[in-house]
Amino acid sequence: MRNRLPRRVRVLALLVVALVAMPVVSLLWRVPWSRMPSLLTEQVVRDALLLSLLSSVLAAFAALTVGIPVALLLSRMEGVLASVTRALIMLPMVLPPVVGGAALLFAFGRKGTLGSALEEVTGLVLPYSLGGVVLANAFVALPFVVLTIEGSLRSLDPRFELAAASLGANEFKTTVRVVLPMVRGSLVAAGFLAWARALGEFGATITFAGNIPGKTQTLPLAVFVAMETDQEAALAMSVVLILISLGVLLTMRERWWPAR
Amino acid sequence: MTEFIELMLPELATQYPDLQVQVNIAGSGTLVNQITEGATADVVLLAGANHMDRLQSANRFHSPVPVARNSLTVVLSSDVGGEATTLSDLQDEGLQGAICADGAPCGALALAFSKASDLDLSNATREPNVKAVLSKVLRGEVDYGFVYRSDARLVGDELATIEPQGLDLFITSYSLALADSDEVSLSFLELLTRPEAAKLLEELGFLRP
Repeated sequence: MRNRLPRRVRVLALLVVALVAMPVVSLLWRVPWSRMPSLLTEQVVRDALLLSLLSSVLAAFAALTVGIPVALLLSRMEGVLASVTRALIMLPMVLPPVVGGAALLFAFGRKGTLGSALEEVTGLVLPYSLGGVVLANAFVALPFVVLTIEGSLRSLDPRFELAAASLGANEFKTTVRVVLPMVRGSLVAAGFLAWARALGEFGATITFAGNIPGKTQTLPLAVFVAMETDQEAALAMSVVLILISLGVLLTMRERWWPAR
Repeated sequence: MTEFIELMLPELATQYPDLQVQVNIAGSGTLVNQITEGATADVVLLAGANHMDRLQSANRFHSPVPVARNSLTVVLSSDVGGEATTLSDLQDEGLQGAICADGAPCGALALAFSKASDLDLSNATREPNVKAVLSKVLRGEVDYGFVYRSDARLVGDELATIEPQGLDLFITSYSLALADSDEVSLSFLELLTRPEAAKLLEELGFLRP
């Protein structure tokens, strides 16, 4: 039995929760609900919504695909090298997304260190394309994937791996057939977390992939433009983003903290 | 306008040495949103008549006074500089363009021009403001960009420009609105509208109001 919280702590905490909820409630207050259907079916909004769904799902899968090996590696590393590698992978999580976007531009842009070679050899240009949006989204989502999966890998009981090895499974088989299935839950959580992060991505996307309606203009970018041209449409799109985000958080709640 | 205001502020400071000036630089649409949502300002300088109308209908500012006008030009990145000379070249070669976002006056001008001519700008990236367009062209991340003449003037000979026929007919005007007719605000207005200021504006690439 836990002791009761002091009254003033409870009051303060509830006050903070109310303060955090306030901006969202105030936004919902302004939404022209009766015009929602017509606002959400405007061409620009529909394009942005579809592009956002497509690019965020692709980015989540991309981040998972490249994030799993990194998480496996990190979970076996110790010492300074592990700390440095982890800090490097986590960087996009704390970096202002605009800086991340600029960094991507210097690497994969048309004049970037890798981008110019890529264009020369394959003719492929990442900025101003769906690929660019996915890259920017995956870049900012990757830390969430690695962090989530590494955590559960570290809490795995090593005896399962030893048992698999003693039964004749090689390293690859042990990883794919024993280790990864045991952290299945965190793989799903990582995927959803990456998806939610990618869906809300703004700074890296507009800096790296540009803002072309129907091509690289995702929902957050469309909201940004609409704030100056059509505030009601901006509010309608914001509602969609809020609902999706809340939905993800509520569905995934048992993955992030133990259910009661 | 940023450069113009930065050059004018020291002049105001010589008249009022104790005056503390806070400058909030942003796109006109953003500024109007901020003010209609409660931000305070003694003077507001906006581009685009529609934004000034929105400000006037929402807040009690005095009638705006025109300060300058501006029109667009097309700057080319150094990669295409020599080769493409007309807009149809840009179109035919599938080059990547950049314009301002729809809400910004420079974006509205570019889109109005595209509608009036048969230039398809649907594949151009819509940057948050004109400086972002200019820097993308400068870095060679896009091949061409629609920027104000004053911004093209800022980079001087670094970028080649083309002047599509009729683009100079699309003009945006800047005007200043005062919240109060107090002495300092009036001095600032006087400073921005006197002949020396007009001369400076022309040097910066603006048109007379």
